[in-house]
Amino acid sequence: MKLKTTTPIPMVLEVLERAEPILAEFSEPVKAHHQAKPAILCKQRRSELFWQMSEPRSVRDPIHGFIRLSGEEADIVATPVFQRLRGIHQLAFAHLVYPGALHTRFEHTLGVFHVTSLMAEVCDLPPEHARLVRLSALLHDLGHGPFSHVSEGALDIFADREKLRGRLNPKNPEKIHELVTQDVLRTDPSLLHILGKRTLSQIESLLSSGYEEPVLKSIVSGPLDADKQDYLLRDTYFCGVKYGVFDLQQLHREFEVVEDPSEGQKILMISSDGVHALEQFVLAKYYLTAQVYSHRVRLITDQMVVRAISLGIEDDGIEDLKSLYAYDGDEAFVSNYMKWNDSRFMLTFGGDDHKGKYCHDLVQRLSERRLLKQIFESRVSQLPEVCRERIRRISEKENRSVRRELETRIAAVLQEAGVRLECGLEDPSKLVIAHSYSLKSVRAQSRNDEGPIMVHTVPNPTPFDQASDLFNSIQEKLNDPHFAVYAPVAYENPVERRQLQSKIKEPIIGSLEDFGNGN
Amino acid sequence: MGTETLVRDILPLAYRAFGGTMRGKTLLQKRLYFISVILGLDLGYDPHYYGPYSEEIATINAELKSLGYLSESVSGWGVDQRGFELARHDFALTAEGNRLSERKARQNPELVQAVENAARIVNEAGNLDYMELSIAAKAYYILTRLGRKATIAEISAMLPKFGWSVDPEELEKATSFLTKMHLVQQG
Repeated sequence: MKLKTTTPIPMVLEVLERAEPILAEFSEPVKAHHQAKPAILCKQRRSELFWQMSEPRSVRDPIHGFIRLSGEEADIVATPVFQRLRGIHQLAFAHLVYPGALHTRFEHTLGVFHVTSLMAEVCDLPPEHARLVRLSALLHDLGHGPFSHVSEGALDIFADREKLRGRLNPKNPEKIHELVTQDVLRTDPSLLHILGKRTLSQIESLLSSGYEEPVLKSIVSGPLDADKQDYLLRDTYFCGVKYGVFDLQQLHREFEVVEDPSEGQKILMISSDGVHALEQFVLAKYYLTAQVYSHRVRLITDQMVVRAISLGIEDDGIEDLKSLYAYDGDEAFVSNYMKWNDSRFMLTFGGDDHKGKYCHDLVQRLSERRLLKQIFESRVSQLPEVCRERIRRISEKENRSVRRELETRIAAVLQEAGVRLECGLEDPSKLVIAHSYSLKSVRAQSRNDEGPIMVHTVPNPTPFDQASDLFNSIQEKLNDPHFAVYAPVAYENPVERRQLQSKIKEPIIGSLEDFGNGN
Repeated sequence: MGTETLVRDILPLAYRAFGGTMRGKTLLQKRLYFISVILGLDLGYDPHYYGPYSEEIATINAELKSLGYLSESVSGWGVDQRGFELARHDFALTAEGNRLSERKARQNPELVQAVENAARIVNEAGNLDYMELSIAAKAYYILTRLGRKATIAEISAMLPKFGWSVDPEELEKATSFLTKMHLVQQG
């Protein structure tokens, strides 16, 4: 009777796995004894060895109301690696435009967890799969560094790809932050205690390539995933805009899990009646991307952060920055990385220790909202034909030296036009930033794949882009590339700004044409 | 070379090799699919309900349009049985697109030769429309998945497994097309 009340058999199996790291600290004979008789170990030492599971909790959330967590889930939320997310703003410096946008990865993750739970119910997942997707939702953002997605740009630039060769997915080699998340899942002792190696390994699979049924991956990462559903509603709320609103309940009503006849696996689709609900969701995503994520000031601040990191590592030689972004898969990297959040970054690199450095200058500008100014902006299709392809790709990490060359040219153009660069450092041209982007690329910083959405029609499913003209128009807008130049210039009012922009427009276009011709 | 970079180079050359136009997104996808098969290049094709499909081709095609290198015209065909509007999206190189493809041709003489040869093979094997090319692509996909010889009846029997249904006569035409391209042999 005693055995029945303490631990049912499947629980024992899970528990044994959790014992592994603790066993590692025992002497060899003790380890051998326990490994030979694991069941006895569990009965005798359970209370000493294992994490005490908390009571289920409810957390009040401004978007979703009460979010209910099981004891296991509450334990995860209580871990230091999860609590760290409180220090990472969801939208980096968007609060410089939308003062309310101070929400963090912490509450977003809880929201994603909640939406995932709803989707697991709608999709009628079996309990073990429902548990796995819920846990994956809780753990999916642990690899975020200071300023959320902005960090990813720096990780991509400075990661040691030689050392990571075996771990990079050839189809998606740029997603370094996902490797960081994997490392956290593999090495964090508190997560290991709560979930055990086997569960963590299943979560790792689900978050990267997928696990068992494709529908599970679709819930945690895909065009209809819980992440998007939460961030649209949450970012809308905290930015104080109305663009990202959609009918969550209606969308969920239209989800259908359909068996793929070719693979015999379950896929998430939208019902044919749900096309309009999906259009509303897609529109919400588009408007929020266009109005918030691609806001001029947000693009400038993101670029300033990445430039501060690049100059800090390459020109200022700041070792702390290098060890924060030169990811090599080493355990020491992750252990250091997990100690950083937004405010530590700002205090460290904006502090007096680094005065006189480019990085310090940019961080101070961000602190005081003395931002670089957008002095030139154009759709790439309006630029001279000969330079469009090069300009379109100027912000890709492979083109960093070409980008630098272009920025030096533009700085020279500004100097010739008598425009003063407001920077007291040796080479002000380093603060001139040439940036190419599309709305899609701004949003693609999110970790989720943007695969095709299928509408469940008979006899065959229909891709959403064939079922919705509206979607096609939006896709076009999202793909439309833009080019902008940011620089440390000053003007007093909008009239002066327009005068400056019109004065330098033609010289910059001329220099882009020369650049395209390779002159 | 990454898939996306390769697609960026090949797509303008493929337009050039097929006379500067593509009548419909399906035709574009399937023509490029056979070019990738003939040249043994990875252009990002994955199985799809409408046959092999490359997200990279779709993305770069949209990018070429947004950069002003392609023009697009949409023609409506009415409404299908599910109530969805049927539309065909035709693309053509603009004058700037022609300049781009000429420049790419000068920069990659070997690649342009290979693409032109592959396009010639596709054209000479039969002037198939987008639907017929789509069936041929499905049949070829099933054959490669099977990894062995198969009769038309066997291929036909496999189609529902992939959610596809094809008329046997159309399938026969498709296999003849594949044979002419020397992608399959009868025997």
